[in-house]
Amino acid sequence: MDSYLLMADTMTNKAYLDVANSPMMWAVVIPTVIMVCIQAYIFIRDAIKAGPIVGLTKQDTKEAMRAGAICSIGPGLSMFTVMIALMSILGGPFAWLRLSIIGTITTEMLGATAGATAMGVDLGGLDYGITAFSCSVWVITLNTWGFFIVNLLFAHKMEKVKMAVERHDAHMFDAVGLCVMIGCVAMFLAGQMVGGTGKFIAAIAGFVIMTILVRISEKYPKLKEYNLGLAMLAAIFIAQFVVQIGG
Amino acid sequence: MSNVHNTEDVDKRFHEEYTVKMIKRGRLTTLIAALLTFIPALYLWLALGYKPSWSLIGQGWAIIVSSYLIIYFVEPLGFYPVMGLSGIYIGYLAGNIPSVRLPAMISAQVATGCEAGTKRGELVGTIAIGMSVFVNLAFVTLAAITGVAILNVLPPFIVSAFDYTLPAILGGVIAQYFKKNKVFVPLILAICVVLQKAPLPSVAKFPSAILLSFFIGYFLYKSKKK
Repeated sequence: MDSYLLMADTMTNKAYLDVANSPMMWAVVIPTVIMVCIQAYIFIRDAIKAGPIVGLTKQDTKEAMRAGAICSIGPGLSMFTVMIALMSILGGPFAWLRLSIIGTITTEMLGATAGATAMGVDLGGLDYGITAFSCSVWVITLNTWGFFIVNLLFAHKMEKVKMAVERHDAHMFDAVGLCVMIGCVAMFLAGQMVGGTGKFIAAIAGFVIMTILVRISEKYPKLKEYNLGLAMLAAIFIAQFVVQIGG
Repeated sequence: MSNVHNTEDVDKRFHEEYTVKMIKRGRLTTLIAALLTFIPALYLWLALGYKPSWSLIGQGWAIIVSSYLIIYFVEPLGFYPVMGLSGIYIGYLAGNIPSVRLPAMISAQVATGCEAGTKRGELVGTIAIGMSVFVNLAFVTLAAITGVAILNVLPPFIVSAFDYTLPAILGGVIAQYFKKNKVFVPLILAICVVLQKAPLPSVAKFPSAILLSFFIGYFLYKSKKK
């Protein structure tokens, strides 16, 4: 029955982007972002109100607001490249939503790919249609719910959890967690690398260019936040160039 | 100007007048926003009639949750000492913690001379993180608007290059990990390539990769400690 579904996927060959970029799609993603803003507003307001309890002055508050705003300009600019990439695959509205809330570009790309893999198609490929897109949307949404659930259930007990973890080897959790994350990325990457010349080249190029950029940004730390976006851009064009021109 | 110098009194007031309310409001706003994240999926399904079978959604979810499960727990725990509880609530809804929220918090703490991990540090950090939500959102929105326009005028040669986004980004991400994990990264990558090519059923491949990562990671950590 599942393979019947695969053959019956409609709006393939990028046609699904018509739905993904529709005005209604914008409408359905706006409520969450409004809630994010409401939360930020409430927290700012409450923090300012509580300031006098611990001796914060109006000057402190102003400086905190300034620092927060100015600090966000650099990272904000570096979002452009990854935004455009994500938009070309998931459409403007959904990409806007996902990069405004929990979930980095990597997390969202992996979630979207997991959805596509379950449907037996390539993310954004020729067979990737509206049903596959919907699958990616569901998987991405469910993935970040993991963070929401842990937050809702455990955040207020975080102090106690922290102390319990410190009684054991806290570093081990970090180290093993990191290895699992690397393994996840490696598995998706391996899948791409065996998936054709273009993808293989893009992967290698991304690796090499990123390594170079990281080295450069050790001397010029301000460039660090642009590394991934730039490496990605360079790598995709190298891959495209080689595939199209190389024939 | 408050002249409460008694630390116990300050702690008590802070807890009652700020922390308790903050936790309630943080949880409520997070819950509402989390529920709202389902709207796009529900819209595609209920309004337009597009939805894969629950079994397919489950398979996709199983692939991603097998690796992220441990991260859901480990990551917030790692950020909590620096972010404070308020920072965790905003950070785990608005996201972008290491790239935007953390720098904003630290910058505010430095600017006001408040130490991280203190109540003053938590408050100025929270104010800064809150501001970063608005500023960062403005840029992401700008990127969305210009991005749509840009994608529309770009020639197909360039637009279709974005089909290579996933391997390009993952190659870059692995490069970042490789810097500090020169043994594990090539090892697990080789294993994953073998797994991808192996004649295993696809439902077995991802969990195998994750389990192997878990055990190899554990083994490497323990052997380093010796």
